Amino acid sequence: LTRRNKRLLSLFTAAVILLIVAVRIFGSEDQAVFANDITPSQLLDYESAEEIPPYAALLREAEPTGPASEAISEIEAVPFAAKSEDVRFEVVTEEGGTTLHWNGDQGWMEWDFTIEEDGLYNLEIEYMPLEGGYSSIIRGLQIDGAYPFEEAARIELDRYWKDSKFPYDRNEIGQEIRPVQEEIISWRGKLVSDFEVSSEPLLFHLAKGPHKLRMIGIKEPIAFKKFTWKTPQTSMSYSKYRGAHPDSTLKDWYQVVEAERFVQKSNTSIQTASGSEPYISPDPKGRIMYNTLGGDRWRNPGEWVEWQFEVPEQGWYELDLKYFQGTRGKTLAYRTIMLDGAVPYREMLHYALPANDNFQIRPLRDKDGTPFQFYLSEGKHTLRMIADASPVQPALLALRHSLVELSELEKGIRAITGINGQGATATSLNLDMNRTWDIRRYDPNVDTKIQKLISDLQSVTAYLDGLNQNKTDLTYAIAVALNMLNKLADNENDIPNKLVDFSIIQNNINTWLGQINYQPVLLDYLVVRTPNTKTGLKEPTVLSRIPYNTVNFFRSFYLEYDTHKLNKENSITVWVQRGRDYAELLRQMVEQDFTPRTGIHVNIQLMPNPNQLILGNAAGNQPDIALGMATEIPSDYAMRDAVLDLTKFKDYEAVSQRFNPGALRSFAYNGGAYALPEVQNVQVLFYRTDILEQLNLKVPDTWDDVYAMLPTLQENGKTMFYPTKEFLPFFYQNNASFYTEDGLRTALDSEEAIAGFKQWTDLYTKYSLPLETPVFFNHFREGDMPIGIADFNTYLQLQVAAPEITGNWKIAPVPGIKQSSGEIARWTAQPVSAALVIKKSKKQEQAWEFLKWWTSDEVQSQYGNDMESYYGLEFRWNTANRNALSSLAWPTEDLKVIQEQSRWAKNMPYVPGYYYLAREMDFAWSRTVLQGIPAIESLRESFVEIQREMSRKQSSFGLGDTDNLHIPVIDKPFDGGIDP
Amino acid sequence: MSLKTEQPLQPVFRTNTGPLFIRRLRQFALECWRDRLVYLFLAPFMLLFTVFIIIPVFMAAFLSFTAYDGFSFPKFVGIDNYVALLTQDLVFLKYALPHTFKFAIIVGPGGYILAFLFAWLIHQLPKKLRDYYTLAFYAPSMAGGVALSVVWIAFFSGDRVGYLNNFLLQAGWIHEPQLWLQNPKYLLNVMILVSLWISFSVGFLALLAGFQTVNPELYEAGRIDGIRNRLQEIFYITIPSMKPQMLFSAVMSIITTLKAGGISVQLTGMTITPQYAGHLMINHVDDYAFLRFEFGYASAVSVVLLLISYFAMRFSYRLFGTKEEE
Repeated sequence: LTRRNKRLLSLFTAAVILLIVAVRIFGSEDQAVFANDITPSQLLDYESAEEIPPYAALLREAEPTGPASEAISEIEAVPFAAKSEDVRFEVVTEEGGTTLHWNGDQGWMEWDFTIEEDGLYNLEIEYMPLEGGYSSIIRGLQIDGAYPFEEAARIELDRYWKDSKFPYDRNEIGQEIRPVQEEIISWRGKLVSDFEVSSEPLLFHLAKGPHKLRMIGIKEPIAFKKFTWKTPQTSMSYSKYRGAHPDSTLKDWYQVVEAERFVQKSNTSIQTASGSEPYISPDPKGRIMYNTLGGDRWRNPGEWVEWQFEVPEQGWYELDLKYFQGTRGKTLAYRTIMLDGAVPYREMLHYALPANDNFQIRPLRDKDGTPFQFYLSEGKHTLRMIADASPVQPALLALRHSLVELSELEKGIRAITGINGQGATATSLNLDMNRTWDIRRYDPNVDTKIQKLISDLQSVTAYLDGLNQNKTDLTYAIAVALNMLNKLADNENDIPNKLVDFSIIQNNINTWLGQINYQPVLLDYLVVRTPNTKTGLKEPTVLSRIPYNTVNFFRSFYLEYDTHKLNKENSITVWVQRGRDYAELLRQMVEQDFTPRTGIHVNIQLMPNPNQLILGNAAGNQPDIALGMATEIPSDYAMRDAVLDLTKFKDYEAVSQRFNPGALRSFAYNGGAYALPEVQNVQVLFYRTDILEQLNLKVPDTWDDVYAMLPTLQENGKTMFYPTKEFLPFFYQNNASFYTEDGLRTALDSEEAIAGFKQWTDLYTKYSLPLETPVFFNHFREGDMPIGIADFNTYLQLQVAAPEITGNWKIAPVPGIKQSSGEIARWTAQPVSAALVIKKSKKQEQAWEFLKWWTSDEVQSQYGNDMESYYGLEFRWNTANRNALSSLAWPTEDLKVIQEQSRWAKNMPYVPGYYYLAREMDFAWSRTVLQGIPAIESLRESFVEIQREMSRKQSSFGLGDTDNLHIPVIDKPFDGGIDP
Repeated sequence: MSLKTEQPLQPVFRTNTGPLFIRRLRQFALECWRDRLVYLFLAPFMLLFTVFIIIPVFMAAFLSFTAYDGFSFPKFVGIDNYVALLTQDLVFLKYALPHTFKFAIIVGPGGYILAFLFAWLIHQLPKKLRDYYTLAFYAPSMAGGVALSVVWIAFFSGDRVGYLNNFLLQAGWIHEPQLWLQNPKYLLNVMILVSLWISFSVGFLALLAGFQTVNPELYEAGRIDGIRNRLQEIFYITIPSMKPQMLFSAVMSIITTLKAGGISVQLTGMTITPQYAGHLMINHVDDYAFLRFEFGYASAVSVVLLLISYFAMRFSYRLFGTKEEE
């Protein structure tokens, strides 16, 4: 036995040694140096099919014509040469001259100007933002009736923002509260630039002679004073900069500039954050204290922050940054740095911050590690850091081009083989796996095409790796794609059978492509110091974290975390099922407005889990009010007599006028009304204007229009998106209802219901819409689903995260069914979140006061505006209050669509046993679509099951045949008091 | 302590009056007082056991005779819940019960046999290696939910990059990706497979420990007495001498399999699996308790589950229990 033991042991040791050696060998790959031998120009060496070339490609071709010597051409905003009909404007005469106020974001305006000399020019715009929303002002810029390059279609003009107070307020337990963001409105000049494509202002090539400059309204109102064409200033090199100033010897001196104490910033979405770790400045001491800035909230190219500092004497200074940049693997992040409004020297253009896994204090320095120095005069200076993505732009363009070529290749193969389906399975693709192909007979070039793709992708990888001096997530994704392409190249006759690989490659690369422009950097502070000054500032280490966290741990024993006010006579308790930020803002507004006005104190507490309400009830611990509850909760609890019927208050009728009756339908039960809505979610039809135009398709108004357009879409390898499990619209649009009017029986056996169910399942069985679409948003951006129905979140996502298709998509009301009256019924659900009063509450009157205050027009619009100001557009508070909704900063056209769709809001009523409906519809859908059972039979089965459950539930609630639950009838669109 | 209890009872003269049961009670109280230290030591466990096990079980049993929706006071309905469960609840009879039995019969004894087999195999390894293998087998049950979602969801993923689909496609055994986790045809089997993988838990460790408690001299003696192979060794010596561990392991495996239910939720991400394909009794309890707010009925289902576990446990006592004469 011992001999066997020994043998096993030696075997084991051998295996371990082998493993170590293997790790060594493969691990050593990391240390490889990545040659930096691919130039951006090489990457852009392709023929673009786009009508308007991207800026980078244009710049590559532009001959370096010596720009006109200090030639300047000025254009006054007033008078303008021409304008479109729908543009709303006024001419304002102020002290500084006459200016043009362009109110709104529609139409276009045009100016004439003359250029004296051929050459490349910068455009300076003197503008002032007009009061509007929280996003930057965007205008399209055409010269002589055409966009000079792709990026000119969306020129961004910043609004300037600052924190309305510093230091920040603290709440009663000492946590800091972010202040409202205040806009700085003033006249300013800006050289048109786009940090996605170039760190320097954009160049426009203008020939000698008369020209027309046209601005096209896209977003937000603006006032113009003057446009100036200027000769570009090239920034000097560092060595020249050093030579231009005398040497200096300065005393040891340094100043720390806290990142969170900025003077101004370009977007409200750039936000301070709270960090807790050793040596962070200032130390939060176990509380929330906003002591850092940026990270994921300062990552979009062009977003900038400006600080101010003062130096005691004239001379050379160095700049340290304490930053963390490690959420994207080894990818570099870029910042362009401006001192006193200008880039001091070329090296400060897209300065690269290497990735780290901790806060580090690093000076701005060159490749050899020598710190850069700045010559500063005595006194105040401003420092601006601009997120910059221009170095990765060539790779982005090249990759996009490769993706286009890839889909061209796929289209070619589809044309040859006749595979016309969508999806991932052979049946849905309409693909015969058993057929043997001889692809080269039909397309002799297929090999070269794939090889070209492979070599293109390889050079992109080489360029990116050279840039980052490391492998990154994107290049790994490309490596996977290369692997797949190589396999296809080895066996081209297999391509038809592996058609899905194309979409996999596209998906993979696209996922990372969306993030390639992000440049997140989290800053703790900046240090301005004289060279050689030792600041003694420290970085966190693993060892220093241990005592720090231990102290924090012990702090947790004595620090007060509970924001309970002691139970005062006149105070109510509110549980909020939302994030902390939402609750914090609510608390602030209550303290500033509600309590002074009514004398009612409010305890606001977070409720992380919705089950807490029911379990808390069993334990006798309950709030007076619950906010942010799911749509079905109020009626569900009302069936059990746990929620207060609000109709018992005399002014309920008046208050309910604030909302859409279609949305209130969810909260009705047995003649009562059990909650008020807070936020709503609207479904609309999203479509790509560019693609529909290209395919010569019109926006569908009815489902018949949809059926008519689907063949054209599908012939072109595109399809439409419909949220698979959304059955309600088809039933309501067919005038079916789910329950009888007394709410005791299901009405799914009606002719209309069967028609609705059939129409729903036909989308998949007959019109082969995709069964599963994980992320519609991405497909919409790529354009393979240029049309689809989605909710409000998609709207925000498209607004915020899809800059490349800005202006190329629109929304429309959901397609409907033409009724006998000629009207198109567009019924959809409008899920709302509920604010309810618990029945056991002893302070029902006060609670009702609170609900009235909370859902009022002013409070809702202020809350929505503040929320958006704190956190940016993606936190839009889509209030259910009709008046407050129109007061948010919407693009005019979109608001009209949303209001039209809101007319057709018709929510599901909730009756005993309601939960069985969704479950059974799900089952019925999969029976019909996946298992091929006829629609009528499938629905019939569900009908029986639902009825059984409803009857069972009714008897447990003691409801008999003679009872009536009075489901609110909504058969006409809601027109009450909408003024567009 | 033990010394004290062995002392003969001291005669108590004063209590010799009154009716018999009073005297008995007084006697009992006195004895309690005398052994107060023992009770003090017992108290922490008894207290926690009562609060967290005995009271909840009795409350569940009590609730199962009521209609309780979490808000109003429970209403007594007699055995209505049980009658409904056995006569009207189609989902219970058609899906939950048969699925639970199929699941339990395969995963329970199957997992038990696998645990025994692997524990025995590992026991054959040299001591130095044993711990590594033990850790390797025990790890999945420690990782639990996380491993489930990372490893198995990726493995059974429904698109063509899912490991299983990819392998089968490459091998040419299937022509299109299968929705392993959504298709009612496969879901239960996938659940069984995954449960087997995580079944090497405490029971497995107990068995492994059991193997080490067997007196090696017995094997020698057995060989002299004519045992010819390893199988006979296991059957005649190993199993009889590690009955307590086998019992413990069996009980653990019964309990874990019967209360499994989270697994379908973790795999599919849905509280109710497509067409009830992976609906186990625990899912049924969840459905009634947290989706329909019928806590009384849910309690009745869990009481039934408790009874089933109890009988399964009796059965394993019958199999592995140590009898008086052993």
